[in-house]
Amino acid sequence: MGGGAPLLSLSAVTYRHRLPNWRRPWKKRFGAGIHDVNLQVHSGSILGLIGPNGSGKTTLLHTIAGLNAQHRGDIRFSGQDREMIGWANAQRHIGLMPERVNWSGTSTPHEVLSRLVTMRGEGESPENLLKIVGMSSRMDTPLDNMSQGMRQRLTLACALLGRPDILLLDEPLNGLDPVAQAAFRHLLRELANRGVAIIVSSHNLHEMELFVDSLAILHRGQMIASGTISEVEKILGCEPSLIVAGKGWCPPSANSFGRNISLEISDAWPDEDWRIILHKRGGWSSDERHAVLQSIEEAGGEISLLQTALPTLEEMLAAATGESADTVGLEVGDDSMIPLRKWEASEDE
Amino acid sequence: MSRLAREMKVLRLSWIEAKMHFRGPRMIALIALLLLFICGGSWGLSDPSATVTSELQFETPYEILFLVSLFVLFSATLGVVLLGFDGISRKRLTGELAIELSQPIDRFDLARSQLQGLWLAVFIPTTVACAIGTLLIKAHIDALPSLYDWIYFMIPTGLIIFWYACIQLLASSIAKDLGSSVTLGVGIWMLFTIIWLLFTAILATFMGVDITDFESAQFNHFSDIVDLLSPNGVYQLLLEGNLDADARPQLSQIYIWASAILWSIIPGMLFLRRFKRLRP
Repeated sequence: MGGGAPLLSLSAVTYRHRLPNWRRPWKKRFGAGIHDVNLQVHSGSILGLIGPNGSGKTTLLHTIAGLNAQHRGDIRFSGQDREMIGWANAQRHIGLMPERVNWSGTSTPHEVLSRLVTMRGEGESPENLLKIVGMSSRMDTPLDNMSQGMRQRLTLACALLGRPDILLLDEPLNGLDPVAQAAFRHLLRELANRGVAIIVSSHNLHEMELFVDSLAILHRGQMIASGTISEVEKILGCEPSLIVAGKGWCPPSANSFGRNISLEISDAWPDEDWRIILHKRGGWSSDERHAVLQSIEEAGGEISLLQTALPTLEEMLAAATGESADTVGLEVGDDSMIPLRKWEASEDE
Repeated sequence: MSRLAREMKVLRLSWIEAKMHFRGPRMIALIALLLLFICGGSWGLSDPSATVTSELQFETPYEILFLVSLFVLFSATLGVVLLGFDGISRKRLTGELAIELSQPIDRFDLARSQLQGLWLAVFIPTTVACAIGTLLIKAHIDALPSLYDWIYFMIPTGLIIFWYACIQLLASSIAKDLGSSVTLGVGIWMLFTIIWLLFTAILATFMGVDITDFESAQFNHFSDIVDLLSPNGVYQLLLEGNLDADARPQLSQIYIWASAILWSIIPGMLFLRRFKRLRP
């Protein structure tokens, strides 16, 4: 995994939506989009595409899927340019699962897939696909009678048509209950183990950390960081913090644990006398964690919780843009695309 | 993929699309409309004891079919609006369009299958209703139109359904939500079906044509020319071409057929062009 030529590679890809121009209706103006996006995805890997609403996640996925023609840059599949292999051929490599498809009507999942199979001109069996996504028993259920979870599974089955090498999943966990989410994650891992490259978009970093191999953070159409989760945290300087809670001890001053460690006192939960959050640049080694525990126990504290907490998406965005975590997600206009600082893994190495 | 295989794929997709329309609840409304208007019209207009108006003379089965075409205009074209107003916009709203557009199929072929599917979904029941109507005419006047007359009647009928299918899908691809879709779809239908005479009269006033007498030769000639700009007008002019010489339009058949060809090409090309650039 991760070696060899990338299955998908994006180089300086730019696409901007065209918006109506009310002053000059014959001429459209450029709105938001994606700007200079570079990305590589290898066979068998799962990439999490993270960003707040309006950051360009869906636009990027649609551009890769051939629904938007990029204005600039190259998109290559297994090293071959999309323009060279032809758009329709390129689309054979890709399975797109759009966000929350609201399947409706009297058709059945079997009919929906049969129609798409006809469209692709392939002889694939819809039954097999429905079996993969766990819908064998619902293949003749009218779409109107399906739950949101079933609809999501059907959308995934559509994306799996033609055994694509690259799967693009736009917010696939939305609307799924925790049990279905776990099953979905397991299914994605199985597909990745078979060599499929998967890009999953989400605005929830914590649900991503459970199954992705690497992360790419988008903000206002630009990729501000990419790499493994720990690499991204390191690049952005927002390493995981340590949450400690317990009884019988009063948290000391901020520098009690050493000069590099900052301390934040949080509200105690029931059955706790105190709860603190410790931040340290460079992350926490097991020795450092042990030293913290020891100093608390020596001071008479009884520890009931020790937990490492990942930085939130807004903390990461704030670190990347220099804005405050409270305001970084606000004011996303239809044409807001500002030059941001760009972080590459190589900068830190 | 060979040209033949490609065409077969488009035909299969069109048939699947038509079957989806057939099974939808709106088909019940369409069938009711067609039965009431076309079959009811055929039955009523062919009744020897019925008097419609002194100016309308009809003796042959084709002449009755010609009068029935007015009911075809109201029912079949409204049927296209009913089935097609959200043909693209609904898929865009539900997200299905993104899935379809991401499939490895030429967008031109996909658009054609949508268009042909909608056309088939309305044309097949309309043909059945017209066939029943023809039998009802026979029951009343004991005469059937010749096969030539019947085919002559059905070709413009198929064409007008096709023109409205193009217009509706074009409107649906422009609309971003269902409200706009309904407004555009029904608005265009109303323009051509209900308020076209008003439009003609206003235009005639500006052109200095006397509009105090709608039966005058001058106004009729002007009206025929303006009708070339309306699918309903062209449909009527095409059908009038098979009537007796004194009832035929004053315009040359070349203009009428040229207009029919343009109506078959321009809205269709606009829709296909728009579909090619469509974003989900």
